Amino acid sequence: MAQQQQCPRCGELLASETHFCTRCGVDIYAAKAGAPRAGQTGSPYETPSNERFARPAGVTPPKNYLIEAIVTTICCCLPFGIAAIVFASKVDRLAMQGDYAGAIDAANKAKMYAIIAVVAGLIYNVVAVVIYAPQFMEEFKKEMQKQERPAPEFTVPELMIVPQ
Amino acid sequence: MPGDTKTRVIAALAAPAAVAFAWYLAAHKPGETGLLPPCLFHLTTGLHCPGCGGTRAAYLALHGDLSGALRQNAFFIALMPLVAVYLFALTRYAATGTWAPPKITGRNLTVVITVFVIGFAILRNLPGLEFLAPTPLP
Repeated sequence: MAQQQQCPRCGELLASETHFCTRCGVDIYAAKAGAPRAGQTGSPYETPSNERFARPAGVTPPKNYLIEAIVTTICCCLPFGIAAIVFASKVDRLAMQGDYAGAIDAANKAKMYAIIAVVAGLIYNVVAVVIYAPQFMEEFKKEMQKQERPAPEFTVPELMIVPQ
Repeated sequence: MPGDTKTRVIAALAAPAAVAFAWYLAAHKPGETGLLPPCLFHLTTGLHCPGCGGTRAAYLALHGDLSGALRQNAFFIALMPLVAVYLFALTRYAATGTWAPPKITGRNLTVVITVFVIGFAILRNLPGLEFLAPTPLP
C-alpha cells in the first residue's frame, strides 16, 4: 500500500508525495514547517483566507516536454520516446489535481527519457553511418565513374515507357 | 534573462543543421543512396514505428509530392509545422536569449495525443490497415 499522510489543515488522507492538499489546497510542506495556526476554530471546510494556504490557483503547470517526447519517439528511439510521452502526458493532469510535486517529478522523468532517447538515437545513427560508410563510398565512386563516361546520345527516360 | 553562451551557440546551430539535412535528403533517395540509416526498431522487429516512413515522406514532400508524403507517414508530415516553430524558437533563443518553445498543454489534450501516437504505432501494424504503413519508394 502506498504511504499516506494527513493534511495538517483539514485531515484529508493524501499520498505521501503530495505537495498541496487535494481537498483544501493547503501547501502541506509549508503548513508542516510552520507552527500550527493559533485560534484555528473554523470549520475545516472554510474558504482559505490566508494566501499562503490558498490552493495555488493560476500556478502554471511545469513544462511537460510532450513535443520533445513525440519528436524523439519518431526520430530517435521508440521505447524511450514512448516512456517520455507517457510521463509527459501525466504532467498537466497531476498539476491540475494540485499534485505539483508529482507533476514536476513526471516532467523530470519525461525530460530524462527524452534525453536518453536522443542519446540512444545518436549512438545508433553514428554506428549505422560508420557501418554504411564503405557501401556509401562505393556508390559514390560508381556515380563519379558514371559522370566521367560520355553521356549516351539519346535515351528514353524510364518514365516514358508506357506498359502495353 | 539571457541564457548562457554555450546553449545559445548550440541553439543557433539547430536550424542551419535542419536545413542542411533537408538539402542532403532532397538529393538522396531513401533506401537507395546516401547515408540514411533505416529505423532500428523496424530493422530489429519488422514492425513499423510511428516514425517509420518519415524520411521517405520528407523526401517526397521536398520533391513536391505531398500526397505521396502523406501516404508514407501522415503523422510525420503533420508534425513538421511544429518542428518548424520549435526551430524558430531555438533560433530566437540564440539571438535574444528568450526561451519560448511551443507547448502542448492541457489535461485532456496531452492524454489524447499520447493515445493517438501509441494508437498510430499499433494500428499501422495491423492487417487490413496497411494503408497506414509506409511502402518502398517506386
